[in-house]
Amino acid sequence: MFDTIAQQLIIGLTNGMVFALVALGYTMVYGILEFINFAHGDVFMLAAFLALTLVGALDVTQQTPPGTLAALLLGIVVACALFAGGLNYAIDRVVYRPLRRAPKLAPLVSAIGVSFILQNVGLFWGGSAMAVFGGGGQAAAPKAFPDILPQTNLAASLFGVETKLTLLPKDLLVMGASVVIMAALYGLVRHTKLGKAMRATAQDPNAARLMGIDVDKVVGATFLIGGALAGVAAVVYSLYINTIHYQMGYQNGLYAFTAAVVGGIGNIPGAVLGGLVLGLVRAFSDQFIGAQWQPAVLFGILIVILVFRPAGLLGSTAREKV
Amino acid sequence: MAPAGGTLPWRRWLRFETIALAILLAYPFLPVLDWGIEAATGQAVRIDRQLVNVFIFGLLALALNVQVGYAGLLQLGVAAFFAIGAMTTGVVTVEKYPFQVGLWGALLLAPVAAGAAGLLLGAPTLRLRGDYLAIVTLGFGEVMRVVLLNLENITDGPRGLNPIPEPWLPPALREQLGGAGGASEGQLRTMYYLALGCLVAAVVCFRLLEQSRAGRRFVALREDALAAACMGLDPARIKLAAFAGGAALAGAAGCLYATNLTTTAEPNTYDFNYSIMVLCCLIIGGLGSLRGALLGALLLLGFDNVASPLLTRLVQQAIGGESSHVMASFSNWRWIVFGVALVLMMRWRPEGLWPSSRVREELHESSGGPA
Amino acid sequence: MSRPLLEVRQLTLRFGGLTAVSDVDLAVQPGQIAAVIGPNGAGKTSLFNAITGIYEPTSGDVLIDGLDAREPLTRRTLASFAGSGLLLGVLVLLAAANVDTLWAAVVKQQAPTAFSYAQAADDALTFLLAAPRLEPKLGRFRVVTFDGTVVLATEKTREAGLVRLGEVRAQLPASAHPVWVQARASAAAARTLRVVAFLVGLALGAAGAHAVWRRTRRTPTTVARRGVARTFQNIRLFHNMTVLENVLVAMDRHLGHRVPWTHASRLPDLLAPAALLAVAIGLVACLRPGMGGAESGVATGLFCSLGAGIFGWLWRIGRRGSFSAAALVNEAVARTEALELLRFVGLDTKAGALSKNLAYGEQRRLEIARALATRPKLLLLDEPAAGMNPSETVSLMALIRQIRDTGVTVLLIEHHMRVVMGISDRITVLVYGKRIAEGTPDEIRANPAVIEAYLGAEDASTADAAPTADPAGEPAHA
Repeated sequence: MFDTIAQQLIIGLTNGMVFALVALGYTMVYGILEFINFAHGDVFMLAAFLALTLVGALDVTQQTPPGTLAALLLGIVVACALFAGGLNYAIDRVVYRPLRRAPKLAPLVSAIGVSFILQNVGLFWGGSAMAVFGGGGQAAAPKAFPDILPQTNLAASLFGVETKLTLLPKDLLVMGASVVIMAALYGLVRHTKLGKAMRATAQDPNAARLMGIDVDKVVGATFLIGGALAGVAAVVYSLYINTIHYQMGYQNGLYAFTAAVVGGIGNIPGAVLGGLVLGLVRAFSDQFIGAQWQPAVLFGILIVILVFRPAGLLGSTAREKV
Repeated sequence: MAPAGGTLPWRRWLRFETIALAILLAYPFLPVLDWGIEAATGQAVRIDRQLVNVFIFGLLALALNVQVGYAGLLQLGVAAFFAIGAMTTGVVTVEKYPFQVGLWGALLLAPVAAGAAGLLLGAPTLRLRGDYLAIVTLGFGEVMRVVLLNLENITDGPRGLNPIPEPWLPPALREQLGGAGGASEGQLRTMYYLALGCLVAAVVCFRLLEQSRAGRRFVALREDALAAACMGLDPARIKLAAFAGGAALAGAAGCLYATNLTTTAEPNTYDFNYSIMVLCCLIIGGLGSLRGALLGALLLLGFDNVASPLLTRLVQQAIGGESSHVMASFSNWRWIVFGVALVLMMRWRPEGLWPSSRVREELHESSGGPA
Repeated sequence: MSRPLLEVRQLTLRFGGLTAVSDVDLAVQPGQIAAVIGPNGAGKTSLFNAITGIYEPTSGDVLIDGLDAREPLTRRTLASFAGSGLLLGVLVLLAAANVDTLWAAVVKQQAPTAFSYAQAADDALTFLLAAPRLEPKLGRFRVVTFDGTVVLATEKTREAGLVRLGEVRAQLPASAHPVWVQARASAAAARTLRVVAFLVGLALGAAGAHAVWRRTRRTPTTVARRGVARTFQNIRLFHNMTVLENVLVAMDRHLGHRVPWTHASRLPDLLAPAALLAVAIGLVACLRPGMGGAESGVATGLFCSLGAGIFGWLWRIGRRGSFSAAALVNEAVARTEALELLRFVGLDTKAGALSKNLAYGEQRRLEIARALATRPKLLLLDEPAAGMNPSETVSLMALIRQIRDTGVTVLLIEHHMRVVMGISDRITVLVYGKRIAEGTPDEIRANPAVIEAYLGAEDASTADAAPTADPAGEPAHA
């Protein structure tokens, strides 16, 4: 029983960290623009396809020596982060920025449109089967992402006792990478000039503009950073889950956004907390209720939290300006 | 000037719709277009068969319009209510279950079930911030799909419940409808007139709703919910009514859909993409516009069922022979086309192709004025 | 003195670290014109927002007609908590008891032809209670498919179950999914799980309903329904509605109570559905299985008349432009009343114009008309004279007096000293969220603290000093 619970804790935390990384992108954009960037999950998905392509092109395998492997992995992470950040920035620049003053529905619908375009690109990129998208027929099969990290079980050596627990290097990689990135992000938002400008813009874009802050630049930077986080998350996710699919952006995006809402949208620590809560709930419900009911359980938790704390776990209620 | 009794604009509005209705009523017996196309290309087509889908899809679009267009709720899971309607129809009509109330009973029960689900979902969540509703409805859509898949004893899982019996009609009437075409023709025409009848009834009701007190409430709520609340209107209750009402109509559409297919279909049919397709109809046609929603349904299904296969054939001819490459089939470009359409519409024509005048004013108001 | 119509007690409103309103007391007697004045950022609009339920006060009470402005906890509210608890409890119970299996046990167990609702209900109850009498019926050990959803056989003991498993396996083709023997959870454990699930659902449902209720005890809607209407500093009309429609929206709550169900104009509304219902019932009566030729003819006739009836009804509704005749009567009465109100504020000639096309002063007056249309006891005016020219201001003062004379109490925020001093019976002065003075205009004019804090060095009697336009808005929400 202890083993089971500990194992689910590990699974929950690692999954939660990945959710949190994606959720950060949602929450940062929402905090500033008050709009759900539906395309974010699909940026994540495309970055995963880029990672797969790079891993194939660079011929990274489990046999690659550790030093080279680390260097190549770092390169892939940077490339994916740059790609996803750049893509996210470009989407904002081309699609969302002209709609800043439009009614709220306009950027949101555009984001759904962009999400579809990216999903379709993902289908072309990764799809091999003659697939009929959406409306019936055979959907494109998931692509296997090679397991390039060593498979040694660290649990026994770490705790010094014989257990049935599995703790792979990739678990540690996910947690380590996520913690480092989140700490860096927190430092950026708290202690740099850009971070201060971001917080000011989130509170009141007009006042920020009057104070001489270039709001467009801040928003652009937010999209860039959020996208880069999604890029890193994509590599981490692919290494961890080992399967990628053109619709994984929607699935993970849904969970990540739920995590952001659970934690309190617009709130960076909230997104991390929400991600962890969701990851843990998911792991334990898979174990004790059944994996097929996973969405129902998570959705139930979301509703319960929203009923009791409408602004999320860490969020504060916004007041309407009268 | 607001219409005093609504008589004058009502008649003006009717002029176009009456003609369209007259053509549609006569079409199954006078399929002029079918003959024309057959004469020109030598291919037999059945436009009335497609029109049944357009009617049902149009009904679904009108249902979503109540929620998104009228009440301004961001509902991204309309397929869930559609699915509930279809499943209810399946459960209460198929032979393996003892209820067997037939289509006419199902047409009453399906909206009740879907409306109840809307009420249950809406009551705790409609007071939340607008964007949260998006995630709640999105999640509900996903959950409903999964639940229908997993409750295999009830819904037969991926197989779907079937066969759903065709609607009962007095035998004499049935024979009249079938004409020379016999039973299958009779079935098609029954569905055709049934779906058309439901659509017309819905359009008439919504047209009246827009001019009535309820319509005024919706406009006030969309324009300034806080001011409306300060005038004693209860935004939460109005939204809940719109949400449950829209859900019920979506359920009715689901009932017709399942009856038309004679199966409840695989639960995976009713996924996020389906919900968004319906939203696409509204956006392309014009939010809050009845004509727009129907135009959107026509365009969308026209693209899917007519233009897309045609283009695929052209592309295949152009590149010479059958290609199995994923990009060679035009239907694989479908979501790029929809995505680009959405983005362009939002940028250049946010009010849609055939907007209602009121919504157009509202949109231009908020894009011009201060946020 | 009579009981005040509005009483604010020790009201404090904090936004984060900023205290916008602190410990303010205010009482407005019925029939008065009262005013709240104070420099920009004194918390006047925040006070209005707290009174009208837009902001929840940090502490303090607002009493309308001597009763708390929050909705009271009534028996009906308690019943709704219980109802929502029961509903969620049953839903959770169904989920915990696996509604899918329940369905299989209750509906599929019986042959469709021999189905009886009483038997099904009985089975369902037995299943949900995990009653012991189900045990011998289903057996303790069952042979199930690999996913445990289909029960192929049941036996009382494990040994017998294993024997049956062998038999079942022998009958299945080699390619079939595996089957095995699964022990049924004991009835007691199942019962405990279900009771716990039901109680958890009950508690969550009731607590959730309570949480939602507590949050919405005081909303702009509930306050407005208690008879408090307001206008806004930054005009908040429904811009794309006509002037008349703006007023009609505000009358909404009082619409529809005009024509009783027994009124003659209701008759057609009742007759048409009744006739349709009668035809439908007749149709169902004719639809017994095995009906003869004559009955079939009757059924066809009824069916067609039902369809024709529905379409005729819709058509009539369409021609009339309304769902019911009574609604039309209501609407006509409401329009007359709305036009009267518009005449009262001098806008009756503009009834058909879009409200965004009105001049500024007209928009302010329309806001007042719209607020009056809710039939308030108390009217809150937030800077009604802002942006008006002197002659408009004079007519506004006359209008406010007229409103008071119709029996509506008025509380206003205003910067125009001439307006405030000219029409108010009582004046309250706020500075930095605190009340520094309260009294008649003469008392306020003579109050040294007011002159000091608010009017500075200028002479109170000639001061029209405070700025009328306020570019930065109230700093309280900046």
